[in-house]
Amino acid sequence: MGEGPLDRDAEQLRRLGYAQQLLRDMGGFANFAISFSIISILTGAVTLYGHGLRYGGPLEMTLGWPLVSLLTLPVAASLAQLASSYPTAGALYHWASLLGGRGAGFFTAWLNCIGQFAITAGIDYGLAQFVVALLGLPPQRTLAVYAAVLLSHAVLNHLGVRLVARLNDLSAWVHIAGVAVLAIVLAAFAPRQPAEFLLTRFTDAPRPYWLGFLLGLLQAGWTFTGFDASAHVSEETRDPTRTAPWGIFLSVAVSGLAGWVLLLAVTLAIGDLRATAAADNPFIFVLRGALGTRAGGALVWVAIVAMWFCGLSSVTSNSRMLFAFARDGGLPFSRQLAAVSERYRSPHVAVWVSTAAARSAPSRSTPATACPSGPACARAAAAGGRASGRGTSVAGRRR
Amino acid sequence: MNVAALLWICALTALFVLPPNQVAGYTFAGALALLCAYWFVWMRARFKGPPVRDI
Repeated sequence: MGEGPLDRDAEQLRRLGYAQQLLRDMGGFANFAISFSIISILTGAVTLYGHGLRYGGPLEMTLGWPLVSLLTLPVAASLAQLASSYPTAGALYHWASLLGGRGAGFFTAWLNCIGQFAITAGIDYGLAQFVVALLGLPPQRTLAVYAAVLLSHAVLNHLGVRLVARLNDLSAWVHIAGVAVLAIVLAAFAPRQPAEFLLTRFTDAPRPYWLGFLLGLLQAGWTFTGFDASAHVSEETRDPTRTAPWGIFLSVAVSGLAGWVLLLAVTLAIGDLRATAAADNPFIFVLRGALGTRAGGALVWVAIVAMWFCGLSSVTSNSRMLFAFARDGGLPFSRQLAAVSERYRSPHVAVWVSTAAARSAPSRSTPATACPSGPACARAAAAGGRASGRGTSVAGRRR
Repeated sequence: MNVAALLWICALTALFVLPPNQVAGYTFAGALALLCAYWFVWMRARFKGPPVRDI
């Protein structure tokens, strides 16, 4: 009997020094979908639209987003090249170790892990805040909703990659359909600004516009995180030397394009720019103002579903990173953290530890009710850690 | 391509920690300091890193 593709993938992993422990069941689209879901243009749009608008105004949406998208593509291309050579769950950590030494790997792994904890916290805490606000629950319930969201992500990830992969496929379509519906509905039914409005320079505080524009770039900078997830699940992906690199690169390229369409559509539907920038959540303010409270609220629920998918994928990525680092003895209690469920073939202990770490993040900072910028703060910390991790890997590549 | 990637990562890292997000910078610096201590005091002598194989 001839050697099958899965045997070849397992043999390739064995040559890299690891046994095939996790269930290899993801196809190319699911691999792309996990990174696309973590970047999550809908999550970024809902939680970070106000940041970009307040700092750089409509011009930030017109030029800032595509600029960051284009500048992120070389990073994605570099990581994709590394993923094609070393398709392992450790990804950045593994590449930095091989190319820059075990010390570089150690720091990359920790920064990556810390960043991923913060990303999950930022996404799911933001989701909890929106759910509490939309359901009219008291703000004191935010942490309970947050815990429930994290619990759902942990349970699904515990149950294995097959279910998570199907949900990721669905997530990619929800994101694409969500952007399309939002853009079409806004273009068809919302009062529209003239095209010149997209070049409006606006910043909401007495600062030079160039500085506001520069800080506004963080809207896209915070959104474009987590696309290394395609590499983290490469031990669960069929033909990962081809599919994981494409997953990394295409998730950035498609997010860049679709996100731009969404931002332009929302920006053109702005009524009063100053009132929008001053609103608690300018994205929801625009939707409700342009489409009415009921339709606007319904579209916000689409974005909330996207945020839930985003958190689910983030836990998947985070748990694989923890699993891979523990497998090499880099963490306290490594043997336990590297355990794989015999029944589901998922790194179940790492799944629960990563969600527990994310759960501890907001409650250790400020009270939930007093931290409206919690998601943005978490994303800032996360992106700092992740950028440094990526930098170490790419720097290793240069050596 | 790699040079462009590195330059953008450096620029973005600076952007991430500019005011009003300086807390992210302090957090990052603090985490890095703790990791340095952990590495030099304990892990440097113990952590072997991933297996290195020729492929």
